[in-house]
Amino acid sequence: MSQHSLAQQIRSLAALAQSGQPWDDSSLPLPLATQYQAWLEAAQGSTQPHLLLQRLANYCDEMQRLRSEAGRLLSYPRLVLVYLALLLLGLGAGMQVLHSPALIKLALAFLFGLTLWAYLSTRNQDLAWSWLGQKGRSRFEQLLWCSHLAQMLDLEMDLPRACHWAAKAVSDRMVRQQAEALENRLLAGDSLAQALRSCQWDPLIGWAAEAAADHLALPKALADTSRTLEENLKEDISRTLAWLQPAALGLVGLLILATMAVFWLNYQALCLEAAQ
Amino acid sequence: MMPGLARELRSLALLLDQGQSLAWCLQRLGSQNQLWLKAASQAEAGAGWSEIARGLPEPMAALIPERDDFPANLRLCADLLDDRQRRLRFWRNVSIYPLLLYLAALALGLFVSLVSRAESSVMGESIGLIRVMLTASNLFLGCLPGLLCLPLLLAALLRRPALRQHVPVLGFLASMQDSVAFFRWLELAHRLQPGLPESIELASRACVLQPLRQGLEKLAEELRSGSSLDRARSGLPPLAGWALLQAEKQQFRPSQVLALVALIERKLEFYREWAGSLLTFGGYLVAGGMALWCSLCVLLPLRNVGNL
Repeated sequence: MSQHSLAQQIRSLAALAQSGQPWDDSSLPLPLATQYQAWLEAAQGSTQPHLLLQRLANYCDEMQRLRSEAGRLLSYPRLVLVYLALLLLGLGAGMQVLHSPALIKLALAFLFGLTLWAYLSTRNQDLAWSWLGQKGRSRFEQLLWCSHLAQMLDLEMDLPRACHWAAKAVSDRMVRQQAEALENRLLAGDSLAQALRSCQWDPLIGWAAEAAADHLALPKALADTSRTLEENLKEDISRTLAWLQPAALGLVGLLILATMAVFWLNYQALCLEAAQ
Repeated sequence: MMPGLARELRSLALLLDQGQSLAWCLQRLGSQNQLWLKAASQAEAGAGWSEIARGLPEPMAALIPERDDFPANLRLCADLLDDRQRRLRFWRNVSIYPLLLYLAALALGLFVSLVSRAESSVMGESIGLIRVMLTASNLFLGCLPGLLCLPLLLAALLRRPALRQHVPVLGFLASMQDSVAFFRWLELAHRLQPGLPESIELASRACVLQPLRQGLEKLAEELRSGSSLDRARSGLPPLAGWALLQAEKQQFRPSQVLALVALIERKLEFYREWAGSLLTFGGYLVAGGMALWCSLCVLLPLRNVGNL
């Protein structure tokens, strides 16, 4: 189930809760991701569950929007892969005409399969982050963590428990490990700013936590930080697109040229055969 | 411009919003960038932001006063800097496409001429001078789309901004886009410092179009030498000149300047939609035309091969 349809489902659950009818997350077509379970628990214990559920739906939409930002980066590699597949098909046809050895045909078929697999794997939006490098991916995960933590603290959850749930929003292994270690440090009595010093994260998160040492000011500070991180990330994406777009189009041009060259060779071979 | 300045200004605004002192915030930023470390020591010694920011590569940042709206203005300044970078990147990319188009057209032409040549050699009918002439004519006809794109290539290679002069729609859009950015900067600059010429000079840094930027700098000079705005604006694009005059009538009140920005943006949006549709249509027409041309050049001789 996509995040968008999940948000729709949660909205219908909120409408159910608002109308006073009994509601349960079992009415959702698929079980809710663990990172949202805390939200459901809070809604079940609240006198106005529909408000919390609506907030959760908005948050799901927001997360989807963030993920699709990076998805834009994938459209250009997809374009290159389509043209590469066309070139390989052209080469395959040429090999058929020229009666080339079976080994070459097999290698071409393997390459074609590989291209097809790469194209299909671009449907996984997480791959987009590899274009921004491990640092970019890590930044995105930190942004998710920060945003989730702010939301959890806003639900009046205590800090270690909020950190526990925020760590579940992270999918990158490295960042997740660090996020889980934070919870232990908080339980040992460290403040969030002290605990964050051990993480190799964007220093802005640590500074914001240090500046808003007061627990009441922390949700706002973290929400502001996640907004700033989002703006930075968008700028990174736009900078990456600035070189990726012409590079991809140049590559597509080269592939078209190569396809034409292949076509010409095949054509010449056909002409020679016709002349004989 | 210092890379990442907008990002650091935004971080500074965020930390100031949490109620921390300027020195405290600069110290944190200084742990990542030496430039801010020096600024932090200045702040600890009692220097104000205007003094600290004088060393920054962006003079607009130094104008922002340390009042209640200090973080908001820092953020606005950061947004304006990012916007300029985005426009620079956009126009740089736009200049690359004619080059790609030219190379594609040239390659298509060569391809077509090679195919035609192969066909004529197989037929064996054309010999001697006739064959040379036929090859030359094939080469010329095949490369025709490439030759037609030559002015665009030269524009892209010799002087990048000239591309906007060769394609009037692009030039018009770029000038409107720059006008919007200029008025946004002007609103902030004029709000932060007295003196119209100084504000115009500062706001001209928002423009990525060299002629517009030079025109605005000249306008600031003429205003300093005592000319009236009505007379001095003659070197500007009509829309920017008109909007500047309107802003002067309203005494450059921020709300009025922003209303003018909104007005130009609405116009820009309208033209952008039209230009987007027209350019896309034009692109399809050129690509389709080239495909048709090449198909004719390749397929017509093929008929002869079939007759062999």
